[in-house]
Amino acid sequence: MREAMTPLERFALLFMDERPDRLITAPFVTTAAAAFAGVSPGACCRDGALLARAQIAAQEALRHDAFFVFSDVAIVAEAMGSVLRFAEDRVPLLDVPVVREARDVDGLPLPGPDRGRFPVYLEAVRILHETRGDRVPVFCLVPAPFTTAAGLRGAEDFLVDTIADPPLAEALVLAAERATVPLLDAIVLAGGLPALVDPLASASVAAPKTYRALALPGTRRLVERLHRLDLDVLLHVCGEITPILEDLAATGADLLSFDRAGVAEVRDAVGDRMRLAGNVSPVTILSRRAEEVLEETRRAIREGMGAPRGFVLSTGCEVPPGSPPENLAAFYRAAAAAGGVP
Amino acid sequence: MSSPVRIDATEWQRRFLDLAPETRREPRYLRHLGEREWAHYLKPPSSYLPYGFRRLRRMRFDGDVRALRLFSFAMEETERLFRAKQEGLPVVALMGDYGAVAPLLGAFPGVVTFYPDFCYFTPFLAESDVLLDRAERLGIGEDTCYVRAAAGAFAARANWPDPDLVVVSTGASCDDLAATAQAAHDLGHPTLFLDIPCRKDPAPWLRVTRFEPADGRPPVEAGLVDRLVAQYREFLARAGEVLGQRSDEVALAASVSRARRMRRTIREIRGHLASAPAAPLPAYEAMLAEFAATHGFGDPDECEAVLAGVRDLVAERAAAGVGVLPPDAARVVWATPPPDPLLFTLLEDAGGRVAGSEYLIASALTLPPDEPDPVVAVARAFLAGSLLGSSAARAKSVVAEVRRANAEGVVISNLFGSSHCGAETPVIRRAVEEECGLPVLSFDVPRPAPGGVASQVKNRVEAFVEALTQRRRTCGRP
Ligand code: SF4
Repeated sequence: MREAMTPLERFALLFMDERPDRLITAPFVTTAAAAFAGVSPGACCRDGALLARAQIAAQEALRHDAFFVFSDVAIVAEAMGSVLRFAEDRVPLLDVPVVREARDVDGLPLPGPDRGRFPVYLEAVRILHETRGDRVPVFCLVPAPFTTAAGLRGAEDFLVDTIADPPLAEALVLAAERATVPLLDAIVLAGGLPALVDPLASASVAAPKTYRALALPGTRRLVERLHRLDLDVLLHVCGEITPILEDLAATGADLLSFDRAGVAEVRDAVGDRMRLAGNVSPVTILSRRAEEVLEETRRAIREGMGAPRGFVLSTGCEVPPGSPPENLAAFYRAAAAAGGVP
Repeated sequence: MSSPVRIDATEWQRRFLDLAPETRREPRYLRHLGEREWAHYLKPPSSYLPYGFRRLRRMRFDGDVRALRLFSFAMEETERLFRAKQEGLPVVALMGDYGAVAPLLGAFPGVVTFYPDFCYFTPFLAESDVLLDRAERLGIGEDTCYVRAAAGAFAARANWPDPDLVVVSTGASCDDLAATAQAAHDLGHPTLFLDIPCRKDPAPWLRVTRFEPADGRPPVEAGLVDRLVAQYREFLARAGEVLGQRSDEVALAASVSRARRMRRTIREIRGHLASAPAAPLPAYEAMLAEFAATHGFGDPDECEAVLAGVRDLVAERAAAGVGVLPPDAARVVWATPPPDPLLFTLLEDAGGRVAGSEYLIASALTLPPDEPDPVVAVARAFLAGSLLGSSAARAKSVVAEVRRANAEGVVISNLFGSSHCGAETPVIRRAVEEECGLPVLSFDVPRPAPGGVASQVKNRVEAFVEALTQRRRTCGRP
């Protein structure tokens, strides 16, 4: 008699270039998880226990293969002094960036794992690891340095800096990288798999040469650091990635999660070097008909299953809170039909 | 040389990240395949936390890179097996023999062996019911010892690749193991069975020190040796058919010589553990070194290098008079391997030290005698093991170990469902109390659960160490 594998076993096999027993299904149910626990998204961002509870409730209801500890992409910038605006019904947004002028960079602190809301993430990771960590992997999504730099300076000013004042932009990214290291180390010790998310680095926002010059080096160094511990690294970049596919492969990340690109295209370009995770559009899930979700999910599976180093069925970005239940159901139905979630 | 201390996963991670790249990348398994990125295996305990090995967060480890190499070499066995299979190497599962079949399979170069039995430790390292629950669904429940986790692992196919061959020792081995092996067989893997003969007692070898036979040969009854040798010959022929290879006599002789060298190294390590004034290695790493004797963790070439490093480490510490525990730590012999390694940390934190051990794998620690026929040498060594005889025989080997280690007490970790613990423990207790006049602590290892060890067990271990220390004050050293 064969027994089903646990999600953790599936991911472990994927990272050893082995085929798990079924399609790994790991949509980014992050902010949307709050509703499954009957709590507000805003509360989850400030309370690790609630964040963990929401993840558990969503995973028990939907039976996908991973926990994602995540609140927002400003968490590192906040720990370095940027001020965020919180609300009950959404994740926090950047309010006052800490770097107003170039000289502010020198005074940026190197936050320890007890700064800002790092303890929220770490508590959530610890709870998930202690209660479910023998069967479900706990990914903890941390902004990559380029995205954090935008949170230190304000996205618009930072993007201007990348053109008008590259040394400042570089200094910001370096400071962000240094500040990220202690958080990554602490996540591992709490039992989580640190993953890097870099929405600001996509080709929809920054030019490919900017990615190469500013985003790639720091991301690659963080991946190398995690590889020193022999951990497998998920890198998520939303938006347009086609022009930077080779650069994303050059980061050394093991599992590339992407948004706006065809799975077949990404598979053919970098699928021999990276495992792929993608990429049903959150927009489709939020605002189209269930049949369209079904069709898009089927296509992602069809194209992803041929990825030489393995494929994870996921969403291109976070599942939007308030997505119609029938659309979410359509995603999982397509996964189940392909041998994914039961 | 300053006194080393045991460190936790946090401290190991900090130190590890500062190691020079050449130190980190030197250890590699399956070296004969050439450079492979996945073959670099040195990593700190924290690297295993995200993959579910939750116990490691609560344990303490040796802080030397040579001991870490042993730890990660053992922990990496799952990936090593999958990678070996991906590279086209035959993977063979061995069950229940401990130390005989792996050297014999050296007759087929390239074969990678492993013991599903050692899944025994996995539910505890992961603080998890997953494998045990699966075993229960296969009909192997709590009346079977924790080795049943292997049945759960076979059923999900995530802990190792589908083996090309399963070799199961039955007969005088153990019925818990037989039940587990049957589950593997039922899954359709090609299986060969070996019938382990029952050793009659009193056998003359019992009068010989187990690890230092006077003439270098365990004097086992000739009839048993002949029976086993005939089986081994037949086994090699049939294994060759399954694996599609002819048995290579030169490779076989080299494999047995290598097993002898490895066991000699482990005996040296054990010698220092027993005689050094301060424990030169924590009990967990010491147990891993002993278990390496069974099959070299599937890569005996690399294992030799790993063990040599550990031997040098303990020799250096013993010579310098330093250890990982205080010199006044209470010396115990530990009988039956604890599936929960946190128990060692607990004993050591309480002021104890494992100076000697009887982990039921003595057959893997006996030196194959220098016979012209390597198969005869393997059979003789195997028959000197502690799994095959009576409870009285095992009690005698524990008593011998107590004397060798100059122990002050004995700890027996029993296993729920085990076929031997219930009968054996009272016999061992009586022998130790009567022949050595020493106290014995025995307890059942509770089912794995998140968090620490159950408080009853913790209290008992701590109280036992305290009692040994008190006893030293009132009676002096034994
Ligand atoms: S009962 Fe003892 S000998 Fe039998 S399988 Fe379990 S630990 Fe091994």
